[in-house]
Amino acid sequence: MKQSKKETVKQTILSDTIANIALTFSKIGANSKCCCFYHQPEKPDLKKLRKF
Amino acid sequence: MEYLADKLTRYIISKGTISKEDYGVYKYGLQTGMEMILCMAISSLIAIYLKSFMEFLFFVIVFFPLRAYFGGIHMKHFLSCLICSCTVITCVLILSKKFVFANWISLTFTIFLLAGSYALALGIMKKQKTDRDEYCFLRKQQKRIAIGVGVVALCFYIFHISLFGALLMFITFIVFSSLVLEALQLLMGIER
Repeated sequence: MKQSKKETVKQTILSDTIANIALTFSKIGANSKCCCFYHQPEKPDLKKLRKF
Repeated sequence: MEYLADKLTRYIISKGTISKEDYGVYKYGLQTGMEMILCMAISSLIAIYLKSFMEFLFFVIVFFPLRAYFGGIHMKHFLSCLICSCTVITCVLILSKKFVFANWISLTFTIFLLAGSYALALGIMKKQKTDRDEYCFLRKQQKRIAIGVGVVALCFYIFHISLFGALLMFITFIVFSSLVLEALQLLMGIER
């Protein structure tokens, strides 16, 4: 029981970390013309992440 | 990369961290993030091999904001982007060490290329019909970055730092040529 709870907490932390990283890069993408060097994946609607 | 980003996004949705509606936003973030990290990692290794890590750091600090706010040509596939980025970075690092320019040449070219990039970026945004808010924001950022890079170039000139002065000239040249290619692409109506 304790082991399973620990595992769930670990997975939640991992999932939160991935989500935070993704959000950071989406924010960069929303507030700039391009955020990769020479490749631009198709941009979804990122208006809610804009600073302006 | 797209496949991996898709898997990871599905994973965080399954854990309930984000909702299904945000799938596109998070997948985009993960894809661009992973692509950039991989590109930086490979470029860093090349820079270490060439014994030019400081120059590489300077390149990233200057090139990234210029590229992010001025824009430029893009490749259709990640692999071609990766090869192109690594080639460009390697060439710049080698060229800036091999060729020694007089400080005034580096400064003059940097200023001209910056001015050219600033003008081209404006033309491209007008052609792309960028919305008003985005246009104003990007223009403000472009002006700030152009002034900042200009001041740095001037400092290199005053203090006779010819290696970084030449590096700055090459960086502005890459940004300018990338913008020229994007403008040509737009004029000819070629899809990226």
